Amino acid sequence: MSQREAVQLESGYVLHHRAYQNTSRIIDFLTENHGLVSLVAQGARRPKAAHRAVLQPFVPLVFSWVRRGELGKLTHLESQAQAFDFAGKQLMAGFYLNELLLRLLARGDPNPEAFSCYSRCLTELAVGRGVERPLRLFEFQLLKALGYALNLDHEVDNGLSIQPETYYFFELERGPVVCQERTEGADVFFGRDLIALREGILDDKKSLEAAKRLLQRALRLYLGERPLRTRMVLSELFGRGLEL
Amino acid sequence: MAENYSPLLKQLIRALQCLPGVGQKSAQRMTFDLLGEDRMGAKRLAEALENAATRVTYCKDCRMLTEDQICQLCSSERRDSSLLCVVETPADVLAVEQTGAYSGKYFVLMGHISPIDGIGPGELGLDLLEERLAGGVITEVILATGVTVEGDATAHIIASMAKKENIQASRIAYGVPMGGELEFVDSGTLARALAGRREMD
Repeated sequence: MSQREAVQLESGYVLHHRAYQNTSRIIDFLTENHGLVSLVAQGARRPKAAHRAVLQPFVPLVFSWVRRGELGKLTHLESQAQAFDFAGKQLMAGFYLNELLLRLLARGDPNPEAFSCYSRCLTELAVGRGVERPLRLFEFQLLKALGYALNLDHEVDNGLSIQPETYYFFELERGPVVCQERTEGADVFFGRDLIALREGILDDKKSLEAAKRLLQRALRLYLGERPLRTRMVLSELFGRGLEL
Repeated sequence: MAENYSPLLKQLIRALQCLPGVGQKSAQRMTFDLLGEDRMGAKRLAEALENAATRVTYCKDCRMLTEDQICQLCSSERRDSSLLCVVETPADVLAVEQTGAYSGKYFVLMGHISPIDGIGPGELGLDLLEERLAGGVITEVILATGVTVEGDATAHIIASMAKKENIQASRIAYGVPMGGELEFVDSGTLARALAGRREMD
């Protein structure tokens, strides 16, 4: 039998929850020091369950659990701070973050850096100055936290640093290579935009658009063929002309 | 399951376990009760189940469960057609009905938006809702989806649909329950109750 694990007062967030048996829920948490953890919250669907109000996504939580094997049991839960009060676009962006983490993090693999990217991104989303910039920075930092950092410092072949006024062809998993001629293409990026992403500036439409194009290609590599469901739902909403 | 039950008994016990909250033990008790004491009740139950399972579908207007094309609530002439209350489940319709405080019509989503599970507008019948909003009869949409993150997301989407049609959208209020003492209310609810306070006249 596997080792019994008992963790006290760990910080984390609910990423996703689903009904389990008659009155319980299985909850996927992102934790600060234990990575993704799946726990059963017994009786969480009872009408008078104690934690109904706080056992929600986007609430900073502190909780304890015991576990033997894959699925643990939640033994204590409290909110650590006020819930992020998201609406419309922010909520959808939040769901997207959650799905990305669920898809990319390995279970039981501690990743404190991914946790801090996530809390930072929630804080930035809450400021309410658009969702694009926080999302791109999160994607960029998450790839780094997972050990798939994009090389935006220097050319792959000769180590020369990236120049703002030059066009680069970006080879995934390697890095930028100078384009001899000024060509347009899905893999071609302007040096200035690469630097903007590296420095976390991304304050104009053009650099945001370039960052999105680059990060989507990089993420696709690690997400595999199965598309992100959040993205499908979002494009369906967009297709209906719904402004959130 | 005990070996010496006959095949029909076993079948019934297993079938009863599809009910929420019913496990092996309860299913056995129900079986013996139905077949022993209450044979008539068992016949009635079987007939009612058979009828309902084959004939009940969704109302064409509001997606409430019904065996009619249009459910009684939708076809009632005494109800106010300019008000539309959007809820997640048929049980929510009953809950609102029981208050006696609402006399408009309903729309039942049969769930809420949950992008991670792939539940989007299509699954919630938002096409149908869009048609109803565009019909020109409705002047206010009341968003009575659950007070959860998913319920809020659903409400936002429907509010934006209403806005497109220039229909007023309102969200049900949330806060301290009746008979509630502040001391025992969780901080999230209390914070929302404070944010949504209203002037006393």
